Amino acid sequence: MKKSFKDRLQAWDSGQFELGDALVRETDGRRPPEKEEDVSWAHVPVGRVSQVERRLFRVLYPVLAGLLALVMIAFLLFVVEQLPAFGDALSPANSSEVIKRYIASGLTETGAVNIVAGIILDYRAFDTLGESHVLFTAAIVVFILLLAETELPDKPSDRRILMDDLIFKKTAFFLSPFILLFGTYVILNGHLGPGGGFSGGALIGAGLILVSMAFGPRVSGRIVALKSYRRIVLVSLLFYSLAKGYSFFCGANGLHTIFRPGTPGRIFSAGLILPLNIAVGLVVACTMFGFYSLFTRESV
Amino acid sequence: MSVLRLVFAAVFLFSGLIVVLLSVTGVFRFRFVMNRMHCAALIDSLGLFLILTGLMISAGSLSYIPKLLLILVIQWIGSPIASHMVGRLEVRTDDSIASHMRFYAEGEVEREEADDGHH
Repeated sequence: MKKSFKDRLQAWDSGQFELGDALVRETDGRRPPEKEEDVSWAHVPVGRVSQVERRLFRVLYPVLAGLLALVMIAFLLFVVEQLPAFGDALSPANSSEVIKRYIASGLTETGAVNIVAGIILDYRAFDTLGESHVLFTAAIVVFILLLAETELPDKPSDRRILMDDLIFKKTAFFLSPFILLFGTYVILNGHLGPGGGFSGGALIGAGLILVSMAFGPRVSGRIVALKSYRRIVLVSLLFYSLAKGYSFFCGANGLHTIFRPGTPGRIFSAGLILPLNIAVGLVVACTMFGFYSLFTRESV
Repeated sequence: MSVLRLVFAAVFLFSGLIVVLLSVTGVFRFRFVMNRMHCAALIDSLGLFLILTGLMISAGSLSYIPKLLLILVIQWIGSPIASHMVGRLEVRTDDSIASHMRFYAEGEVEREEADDGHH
């Protein structure tokens, strides 16, 4: 007897009929063993609920869930419709005194075409310094916790799953130079366009992790010597702290004779922003890669 | 001209969204990793292709097109590798994998198909 579409939909919904049976070849024509019966309703205490209640729940639950979703969608669309237009000069976010100042004289004061970079690395550079130190502190604490285990379990099997895969290795071989190059570009271009130390550093860290996963720590160590992790992070943070601390103690105009604002749009412009971007990028990249190395039990 | 472009872009974007919707339904519906991967692969191959094509059509400037193409190429290289690694990990680590799927030796599929045709 041919079932109607509704019957089949209900059977599919209740899990009696698996679409996956058509995709996976079964062993000896047997169905794969069911793990648990009716997992989708496992949170209902089936034993103590009567059949009527259960049926009612089955009807009500999707209806109410759908209603809730519709209400949320309508609410969000309503809020989006109420938002001020992009670039609206009269919106509350754009009409405060500070923002006006940033927009009006940000380019001449910081020399950064990317106004966000000008704000986070010049006007509010202390914030960013704090963020870098948060990353550094988190890294140190994780190091302490992980290095406290004196015996390092030797688990070559997990690594070999990735290591001896030819497809993965070839793809990583072709992709990783581009990822590293793009990360460098994002860092160095941070004061001229979207990007900066955090995003570029994350890209470089991810590229290093890819190299290390595909070719082992010996190859990735050739790009960044694992031993130099602490030195790189320390020098970056010290440079950032000293440069910005000096600048703050001198009334926010300390190093303008050495790091000139320059011509906006040039790569060597925007004063301290480019060196600070490089420092932040190094900290982020090294922290990401250091975490990965520690969690896979390689030496840092 | 611009109306026609809008219509084309909308058709591509909406068909992309439908593909993504079907794919997400499948991911939540199936219980076994391989079946779920089979569904999830739709999003970053066909779904992404349709949505990015819609964006290319609706983009105001020609300079957007190479960038969107680059995104497509990177995703089409990267995401099959990610699926490949997930599948490989599942085969390597799942002890009860034989109850879910069957592995064929080399040449076994052809022999079986030949048998089926014979009967």
